[in-house]
Amino acid sequence: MIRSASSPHGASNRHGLLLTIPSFGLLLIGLVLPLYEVIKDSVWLPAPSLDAYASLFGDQLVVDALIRTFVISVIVTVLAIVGGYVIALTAWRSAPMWAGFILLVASFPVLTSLVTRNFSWLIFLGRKGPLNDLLIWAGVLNEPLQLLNSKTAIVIGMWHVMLPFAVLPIYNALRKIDPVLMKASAAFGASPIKTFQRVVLPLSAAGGVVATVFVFVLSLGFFITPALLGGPTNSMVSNVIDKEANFYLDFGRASAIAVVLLLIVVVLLALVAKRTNVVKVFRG
Amino acid sequence: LSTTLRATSFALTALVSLCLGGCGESGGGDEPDTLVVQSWGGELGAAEKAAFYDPFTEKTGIKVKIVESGAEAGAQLKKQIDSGRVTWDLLVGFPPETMSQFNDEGLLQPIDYSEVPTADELSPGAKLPYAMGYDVETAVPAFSTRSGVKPLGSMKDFFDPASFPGPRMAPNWGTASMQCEMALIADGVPADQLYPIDQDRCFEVWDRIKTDVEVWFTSGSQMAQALVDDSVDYCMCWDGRVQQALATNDQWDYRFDGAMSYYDYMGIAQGSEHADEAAQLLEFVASAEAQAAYAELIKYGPANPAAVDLLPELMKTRSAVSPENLSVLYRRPEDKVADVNAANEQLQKAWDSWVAE
Repeated sequence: MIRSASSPHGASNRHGLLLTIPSFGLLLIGLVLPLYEVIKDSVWLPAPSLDAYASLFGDQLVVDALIRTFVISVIVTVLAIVGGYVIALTAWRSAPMWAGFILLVASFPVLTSLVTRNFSWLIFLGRKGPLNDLLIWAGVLNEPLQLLNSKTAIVIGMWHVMLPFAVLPIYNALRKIDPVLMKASAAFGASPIKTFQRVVLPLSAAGGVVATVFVFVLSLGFFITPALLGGPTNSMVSNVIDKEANFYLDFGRASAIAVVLLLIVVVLLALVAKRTNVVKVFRG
Repeated sequence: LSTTLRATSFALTALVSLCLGGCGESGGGDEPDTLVVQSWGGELGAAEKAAFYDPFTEKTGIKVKIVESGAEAGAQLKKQIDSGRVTWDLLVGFPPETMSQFNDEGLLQPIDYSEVPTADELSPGAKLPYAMGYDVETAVPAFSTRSGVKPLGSMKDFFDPASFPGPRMAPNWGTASMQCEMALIADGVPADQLYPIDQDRCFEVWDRIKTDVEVWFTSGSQMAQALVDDSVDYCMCWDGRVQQALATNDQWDYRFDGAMSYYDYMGIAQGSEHADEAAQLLEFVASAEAQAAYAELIKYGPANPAAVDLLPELMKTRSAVSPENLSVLYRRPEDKVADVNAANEQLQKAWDSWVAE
């Protein structure tokens, strides 16, 4: 038993390295090469220069879209983390069967296509949609509210999509907390809120960080949701990139915007990495 | 980080084009007797296949493979050309301004119309050197026929929210020139003084209804969905899409007064090695029978007038083919097409800024 477990250890390390080749290959083809293309296009098209970058900063459409993208992403992240904690805590404190059910329902959005989910909100939030109908029927409103074409509509649509990405890592972190600690905290007289603040939150913070990074970074790239629910006054940066690349065929500018977004994200992630032990966090 | 990159739409485009270039070998582009045509898919793709491609294959033995791509088609073809691996043969379904822009970008090759005799039967303006018009779309003033909604008489009424109050839907998908031409005509500018397009006056007219526009559609399916859902009372919509929506929600109607017609075009990709076969396909597409079959399916008018006789009566009254409809709608004069196309990009950028304010 001991022999067979220990002797192939060195070999399995070598095999381990060999086994990473496919994933490195995938990263090379799926990440490094396209990224290289994008960076190359941003400085090479139409001629080698930094004009594409210079033109961005004077362009109100681009600057506004960048700012809007970060504002919306921060709001969605905060809401998703709050909602994620509420759902994950409920699942964690429930009987295992109920926990499974709650997580399944919470993950449901991931199983539906993004376009379908957004079209549903388009109908739901519409002037003649169920929400306005309900509010008018209940006497809350006389006139239907204009809910579409707003940041609120974008945030609602994105929150719906992002919630599972917050629930699952947080639940995963909560699961590892020894329930005895909760009893101990209560025994020492802590209120449930104090227990959450002083025991649950610190012990599940790793899951919270993972969820925050996931939700924030994914939010930055949203495209269909702002296009459908936000209208032209609320374009996010992906919509601007889409327009430059697909409509004006200006790959230079499109790439430059993508690179600027990427750089900002890299800097933000580096700051997060500096403050938290990323490796530990992602290992859970 | 991989999520960041994946999440930016342009990286997606890059990935797709990388894949088209790298793994597109199996795409059928190298088979000698297969044409690869780009299509917007959906209702359009189904109608193209049924009316054009399947009968064409039956007649000539040349297979047609459809590749679905919409607003990103120009960017994809440009990437194919840049990387030297062109797998598409035909671009399908773009208005004249876009085709002209594609031509300026070097994405299209000239059509040898001596190989396309049926194109001579097409209505005036359908034959551009680099693209062939194959259907007539009309941007119409549409209105809900539900009670409490005042019916529009013309496009002029669409721009008059004081007399015709109600939420509106309007396009925001790259047809800025048309949107301005219709606004200026609605504002009383005589057709012979329309060009060059007065940008400031155009936006003044649009300013009148800007806050009433509840849906700025960026795709045909979005337009049709909003009509089906009664999201708005009034719409500057495309006639074929309104007719499609009518199948599910019959409480809509539209007028041709102040409407504007134009062709949708097909163009042969620069670098395509099947230009001859593509010309044969164009020849088939322009024929009266194929034109009638397509028009009946997609509810847009035929570009070949000989096809009108083959259409059902209802379709004639609902499309830009009957003399009554043709007499009140606007078509851009052939000799202005080049000027409008040349000015379109600048106008579109001004529109983008205006609509984002």
